[in-house]
Amino acid sequence: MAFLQVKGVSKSFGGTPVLREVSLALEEARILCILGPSGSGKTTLLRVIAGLEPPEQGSVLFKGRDLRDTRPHLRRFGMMFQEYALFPHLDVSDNIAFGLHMLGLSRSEIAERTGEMLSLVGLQGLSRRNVSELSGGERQRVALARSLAPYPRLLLLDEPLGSLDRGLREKLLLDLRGILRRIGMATIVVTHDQAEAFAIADTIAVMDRGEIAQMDTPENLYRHPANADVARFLGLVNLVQGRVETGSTISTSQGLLHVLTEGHKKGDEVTVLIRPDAAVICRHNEPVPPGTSVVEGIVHDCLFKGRSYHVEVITTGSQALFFDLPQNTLAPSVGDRVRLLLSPGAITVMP
Amino acid sequence: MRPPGNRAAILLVALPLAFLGVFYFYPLFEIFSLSLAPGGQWDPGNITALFSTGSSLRILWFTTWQAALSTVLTVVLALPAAYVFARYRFPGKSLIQSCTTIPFVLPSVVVAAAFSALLGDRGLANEWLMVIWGFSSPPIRLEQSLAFILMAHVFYNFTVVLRIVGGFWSRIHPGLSHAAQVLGASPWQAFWKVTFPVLRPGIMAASLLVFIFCFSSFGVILILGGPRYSTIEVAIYRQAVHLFNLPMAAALSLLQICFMFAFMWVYTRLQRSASVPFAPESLKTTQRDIVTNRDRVVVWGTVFLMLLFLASPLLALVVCSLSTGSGVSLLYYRAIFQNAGQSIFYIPPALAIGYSVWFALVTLVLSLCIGLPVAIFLSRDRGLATSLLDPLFMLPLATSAVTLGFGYIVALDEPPLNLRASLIIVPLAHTLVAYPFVVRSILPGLRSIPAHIMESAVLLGAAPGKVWWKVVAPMVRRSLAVGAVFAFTVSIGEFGATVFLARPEIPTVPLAIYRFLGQPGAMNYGQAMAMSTILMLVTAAGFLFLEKLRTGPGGEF
Repeated sequence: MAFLQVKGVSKSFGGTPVLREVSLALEEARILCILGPSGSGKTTLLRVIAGLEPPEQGSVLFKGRDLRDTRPHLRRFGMMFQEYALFPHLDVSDNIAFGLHMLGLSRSEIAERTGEMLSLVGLQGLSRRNVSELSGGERQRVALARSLAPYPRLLLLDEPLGSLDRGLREKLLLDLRGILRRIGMATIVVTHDQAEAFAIADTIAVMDRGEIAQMDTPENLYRHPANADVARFLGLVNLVQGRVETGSTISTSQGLLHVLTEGHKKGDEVTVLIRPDAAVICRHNEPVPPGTSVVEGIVHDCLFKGRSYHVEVITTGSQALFFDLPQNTLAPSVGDRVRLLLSPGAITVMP
Repeated sequence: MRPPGNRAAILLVALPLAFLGVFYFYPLFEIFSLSLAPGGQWDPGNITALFSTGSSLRILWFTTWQAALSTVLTVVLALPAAYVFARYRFPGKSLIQSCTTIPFVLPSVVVAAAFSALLGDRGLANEWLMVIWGFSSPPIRLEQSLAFILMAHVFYNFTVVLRIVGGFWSRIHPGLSHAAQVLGASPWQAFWKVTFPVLRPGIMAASLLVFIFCFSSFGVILILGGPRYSTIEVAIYRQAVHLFNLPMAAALSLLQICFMFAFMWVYTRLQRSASVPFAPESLKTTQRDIVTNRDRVVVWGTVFLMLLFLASPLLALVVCSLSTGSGVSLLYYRAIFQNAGQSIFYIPPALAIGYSVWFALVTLVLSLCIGLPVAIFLSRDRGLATSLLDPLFMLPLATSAVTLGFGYIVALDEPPLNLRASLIIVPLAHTLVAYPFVVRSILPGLRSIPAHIMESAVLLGAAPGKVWWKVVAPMVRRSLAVGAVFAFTVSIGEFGATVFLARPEIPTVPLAIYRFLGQPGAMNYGQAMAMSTILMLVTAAGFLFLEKLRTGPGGEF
């Protein structure tokens, strides 16, 4: 029995479906990221789990119990809203203590727990500060502390870093990751940022147009995206159409490509994904090891990024492919004709 | 933007300042001296009498608690509607919102006549009950009761709460309430612990405004309350006009002026603090469409009840003006234009309409002459001068029309300024009430014109006069029109000052209605209804025209 289970949930707004039979499960003390572009329905899914939106179909089960008739204030799920929704009439401490008052705790228990939460998020000095005087990052911490304070059974975070600017995000991402690991609470995080999802999640569910396109560990997701849409959303853009020749060779406009996986059916139309880290430049007279694919083309653009070169190559099949080449290889320059060796482990076949 | 230099600026406000001095501060000063030194010598006896005699304490007490009760009722009744307007998008919303404002802009005599038409002894409800159930006398006895006054006050001020609280509410993210619920608060707790406290500055601002309006209510109490009820305003009128006790009326006026200034001071402070603490949300995130059946019931149920309450007195007015003893006819309307008077003192109502329109036009011109230069002056930040003169020019707003009218009769009755017998005294008083609206209409339009636009016109070869004529005027034309319509409608419905100033043989429409309402007979009553209907249509049309101008293409200001 899963800790939290979402079963076939559908929801539409004004006739437009937002969630289509979404199902997922979450185990205790695990962190699930729902990753998707804006408008994919991920926030709505979170609100359905919290009980703020009733599903049209399907159900949400907590430890096997259907929550259909449990109103949001009785679910004891902590939720952090995208804009934080801090109460403007209360100071930092009173914001954090709100849920504790609702639990009916004694004054001393509330003070103790509030202090605990303030030190967890590193805001000890700001307890009596007005929330309108806080910076973006401080607000985010207060919102996190507030949702954690009343001992929730499940934590829901809606774009926890979404309203912050870039530099702050990277620092707070690490803090958030540290806090989540430390408290070990079952958590669902909604985000549109792959880096955020990869950094925090045990499991990632990629959402697209109201459906879960793929759910897997971050590593598997990156290595084996289920389809071209998921690949594109993860920033993997080297997609080549092809046809299966034998079990492990695919014929494409870029020539024959060798892959590690076996058992593809001969004659099937497939999409081949070449990951950007797949290639190294080789000299024109260098022999090609068996089982390695070769792509030739002209360097159209080259950007030195310190650890690597980001190059755009227009292949002889006149398709643009993007690669990150290690900086200790031959330096490519624009206009060069290059030969690229592709390691078979970095090539994935998708239906 | 760049208005003319310093010397020109002083010239600009010289005339408005002189006007304010002669027609506002001078009458105010006369009230002060009459109440504190009635015989030319210091004698605060009238003031101390105010606080020692039972009758004046009763008046003060009644003025306060009827205003407080009216305020509480208005807030409680308008809060659900404010919620619906803040949280939902629905078809016809902006039109409905405009319509809810109509009661607020109606002259007080029209509101009084409308409630009389609906629930008075001679009103529709009683008439129907008597016909259907055969009562021999009117079963609903609300005339000259407190309930009648309270209903009219709620009717009047409903939109104040709806607009201010609704506007405030619509900027509060619904996530606040959801956050409270996820933290374990029931929807009811979420409202009381989060939504209400956040909403409180808006509710306070609206309440204080409603309280101020009800505290200085005159026409409604005079007509619907009858002799039993008296607020400070009504007492000023009775002391001055019925009892000719001018020092007592002056003392009461002084009291009223002090109260109004104090309230206005609190209000401006409150308004400042109300606009600080939270980042306003865009309406896109705070409002939702009607989706569920529950939404449908909540929205349309509230809108229906609200419109029923706001529209039925006005509909009753129209019905009463058309139903005569012999069925539906235009009899009363025709009578307005016939000289049916039996006595030589009788003034044909058509003449009152003529005078009203004439006064309103003069007021319009005067208000623009005063208001436009003031607005141009205030449109640029001139440091101390602006921060002192802005509130100074708005002072007439904080002064009740009754005290103004009374001030005129005690101040402008002797040479060199003996205007008692002159026709101009009425539009002068109306101008004082109307020009602040003109300033407030034009000012935002002027302020929004970027300096670059005028500078580029100058660089393109336009002389300063040309710049104003070719560039600024077309850009503020719309706001000028708004100010003009404002001035016209304020004047045509003005009652509190006019009742002191208009000579018996030169009445305005509100005065004629007041007189007809006070006389027996179906014909008089019918003509009061007919004239009220006409006045209502004129004011409502003026207001809807304003709304269209304000929100039409070209932006809001």
